[in-house]
Amino acid sequence: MSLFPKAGGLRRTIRDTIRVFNRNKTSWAGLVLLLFMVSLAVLAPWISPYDPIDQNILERLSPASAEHLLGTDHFGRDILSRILWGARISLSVGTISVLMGMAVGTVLGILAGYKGKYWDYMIMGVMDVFMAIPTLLMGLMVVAVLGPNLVNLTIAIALTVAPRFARIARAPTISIKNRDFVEAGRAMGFSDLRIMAGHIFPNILGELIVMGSLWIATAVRIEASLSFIGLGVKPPTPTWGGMIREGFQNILSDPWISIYPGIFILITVLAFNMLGDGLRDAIDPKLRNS
Amino acid sequence: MEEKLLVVENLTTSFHLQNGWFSAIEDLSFTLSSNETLALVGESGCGKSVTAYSIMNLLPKPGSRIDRGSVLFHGKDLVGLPEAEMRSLRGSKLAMIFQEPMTSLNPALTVGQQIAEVLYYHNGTSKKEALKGALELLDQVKIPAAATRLNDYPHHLSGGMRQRVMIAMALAGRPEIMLADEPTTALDVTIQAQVLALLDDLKRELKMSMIFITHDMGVVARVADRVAVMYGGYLAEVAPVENLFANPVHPYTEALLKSVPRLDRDINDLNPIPGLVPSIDRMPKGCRFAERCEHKIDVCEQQMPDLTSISDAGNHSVRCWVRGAQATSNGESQA
Amino acid sequence: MSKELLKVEGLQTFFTIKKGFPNPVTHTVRAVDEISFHINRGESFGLVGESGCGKSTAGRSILRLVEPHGGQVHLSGQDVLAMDKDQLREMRRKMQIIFQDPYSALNPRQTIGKILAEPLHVHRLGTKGEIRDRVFALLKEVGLPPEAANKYPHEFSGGQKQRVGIARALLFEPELIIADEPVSALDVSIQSQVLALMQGLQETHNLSFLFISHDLAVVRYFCSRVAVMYLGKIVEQGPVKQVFDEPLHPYTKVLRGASPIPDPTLSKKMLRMEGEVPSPLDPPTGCHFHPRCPDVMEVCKNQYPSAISVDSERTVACHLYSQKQG
Repeated sequence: MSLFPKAGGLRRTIRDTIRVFNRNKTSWAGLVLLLFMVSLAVLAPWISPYDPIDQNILERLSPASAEHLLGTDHFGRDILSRILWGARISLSVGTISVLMGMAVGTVLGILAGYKGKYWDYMIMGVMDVFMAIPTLLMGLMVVAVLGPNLVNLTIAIALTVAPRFARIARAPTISIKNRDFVEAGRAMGFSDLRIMAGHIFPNILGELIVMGSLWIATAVRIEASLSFIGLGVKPPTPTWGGMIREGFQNILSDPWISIYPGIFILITVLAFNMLGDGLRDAIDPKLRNS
Repeated sequence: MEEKLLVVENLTTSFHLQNGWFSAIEDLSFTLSSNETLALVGESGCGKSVTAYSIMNLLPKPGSRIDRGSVLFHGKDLVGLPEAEMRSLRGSKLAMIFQEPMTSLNPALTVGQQIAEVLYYHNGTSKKEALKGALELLDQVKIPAAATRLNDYPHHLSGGMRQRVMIAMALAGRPEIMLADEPTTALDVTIQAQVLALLDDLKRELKMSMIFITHDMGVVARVADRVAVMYGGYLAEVAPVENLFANPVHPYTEALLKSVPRLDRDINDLNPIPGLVPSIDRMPKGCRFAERCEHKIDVCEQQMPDLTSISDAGNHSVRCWVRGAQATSNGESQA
Repeated sequence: MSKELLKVEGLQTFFTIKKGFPNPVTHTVRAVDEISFHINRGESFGLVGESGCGKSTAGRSILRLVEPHGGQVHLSGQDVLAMDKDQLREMRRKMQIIFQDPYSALNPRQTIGKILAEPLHVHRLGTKGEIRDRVFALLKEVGLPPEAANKYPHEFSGGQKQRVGIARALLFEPELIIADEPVSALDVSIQSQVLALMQGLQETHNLSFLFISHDLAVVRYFCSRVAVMYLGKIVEQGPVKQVFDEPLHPYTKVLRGASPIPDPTLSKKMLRMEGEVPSPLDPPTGCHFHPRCPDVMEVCKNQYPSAISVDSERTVACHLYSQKQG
């Protein structure tokens, strides 16, 4: 609740956001693409032409045709159907793991940057150790402790992503904590928590959103590698990353098996990215009100 | 009439903002004689720096343009001069120093290398000669232990020393005109006094002319022979320094002098100028100072007055409906 | 109620810096080195000096935004340096700060209304309606329209932002405001507006100011007494007119002589002095000013002069005057 409500309230916020998006047309493209991807995932059970795990050895490795719009893989499964179903897992694992990693990393990064001294050494020391662990090893460890399933896969990816966000959050925190308004807050008797959450966080959120959109792409890729070595989603459940891996067996003769899911990853990443830039601008009052 | 080194006529420069082109300086005319220091004084956004960048042809492109006017240097128009020709003038005949010497120096090169590069580039001296020249220049700007300073990096130097290095680089091409854009604003007062004294000495020794840009009336009084007061992109008043301080005619000049606290005398009440400096995309119609002016009459808000001479010697001009017209009606001949 | 509002005695604030590679050496910078002064109720006290002299650190140490290492600070008789966290929170309502850079002083992501309302919320000073009224009243008092509450800092000019900073400092009805170069970043015509505003508020709110500045003319106008700092120490203090018109300490003379005066007949005689301000990392032995001092004596090179009371109101730390007395 705002003390000084602006005329229009929510409607105005939406209008301002639309104006910022209008200035940077690519954010509209990003939004549209992303909504398209999400609706494909949601509607997969109704719009996919075949059962994604139905094998049809007779039609294996057939190129794109009227029956199979994007062809079939080495088990004769319809690639389009697998992509549509795979979108559900890939999009949700990618988004949720990055959001989790972002939340944890940002909290730790701001804490390290704002408190400095021992907090900084301790937190960033641990983060550096985490960052040094290869993603696959991290996956192995998490799965060894918690057991292999989709949730633990998401946690493993979040753990890989978190230290990156700690670093991304820490650097601007250090520069912002030296701005006078933070000092003014202390002079006003604000608690550290209020300064970190209410004053520093909003000022670094823009950067975090942009980086987050980039990392979703990486998360989709990590999910692929972990699934490939059997630490995540088990075959035959389709995921985009898993499909690319499977396609490698026939990459020279029938490259489309890998290329089509690759294109979908590419479009998703692009969509997140374009939208991320727009969101960053939309939360910046300087751009929103001018 | 004596030879004018630099003649600026009707210079108009615009910048591109979100909703179109807006003039940052408009219809600017002034001259600079040999061995003269002209101070361009005004507040932020008045166009004083843009004037210097327009003369040097250093305006950021795209995003800015010179709409009209000419800058005659030895009778040659610098506006529209090919970049190659302009480049050979910059740093030799025309030199510029800036407010922030740290950002104007390359942190990765030693002081000696940076000065030597200018000599090497403009005078075509050998590298060895150039280093020797750099040493002489550092001596000339009175940097102590110049020989050891040659190998220092900019971050080793204090603000005052860095500004001296900048001046040394500017001198490398033996300039006839030095444009100094707030060169002492970032410095402490005792260091400012040193740098101003140095510029004074150099000007005399090397027979340079100087355009000195500042917002500080105290510094103006210290360095200038003539003063051009700028407001909202226009010249408000031009006069010899003694005249300007003794007899400020434009209401803005007058108000500015009355509104600053003084170290040398008691002031019981400041007379602040009300209102804000207008921004270039929201310039008022008519005289740009009108809305803050206590002497304004109807015409002030309708039309910009011309810069009119108000002294017999022809060296004091003002752009004001009230004060300029008054003087004209007092029998000043315009013909 | 006693006349004296703030009393600072022997205040010391040090910083440590590690320098050098691969074997860093720890240097101690005595940013504020045993300074003492007091401020009376309703008075403006100036602290002048060049960059790096420790004047800003002194102001922040008094507020405990930087923790001092020694000395005493008393506000209305209360020992500020002995306070715990909660007491400090209460104390800071009586002592506020205005910053130099109005751009950096306001959170770019908050509206002016939020910036001014948040501290009142945090200290639970009134209902929503009361807080809103208070914010509008303050905006009016510093000369801003009520619509300002809905705008963000970037929509204002430097002078207007500084007005918001002043309004924020007034939120808790403080007794003392530490103004750290409050007009240095502003345009000349705006400087006098802000000075006039602060002066008006001083009268209506019976405020005291610790006015930190490098600009002698502004201090002369705004303050009644002044202390001159050089490399962490106060070299001279007293009534502002006496100190600036008849300076005793050679450094004050130099500072005065180097300050440009807007009068061409006077300023051509501007003093020139050689030498740089030494690094606070490694100040000269004895009197810190002796390498630049025109009146340097042998004793100055070895011994820091103690502060001498010239009369009831003036002190100076210089061997020139201790010899006359001794």
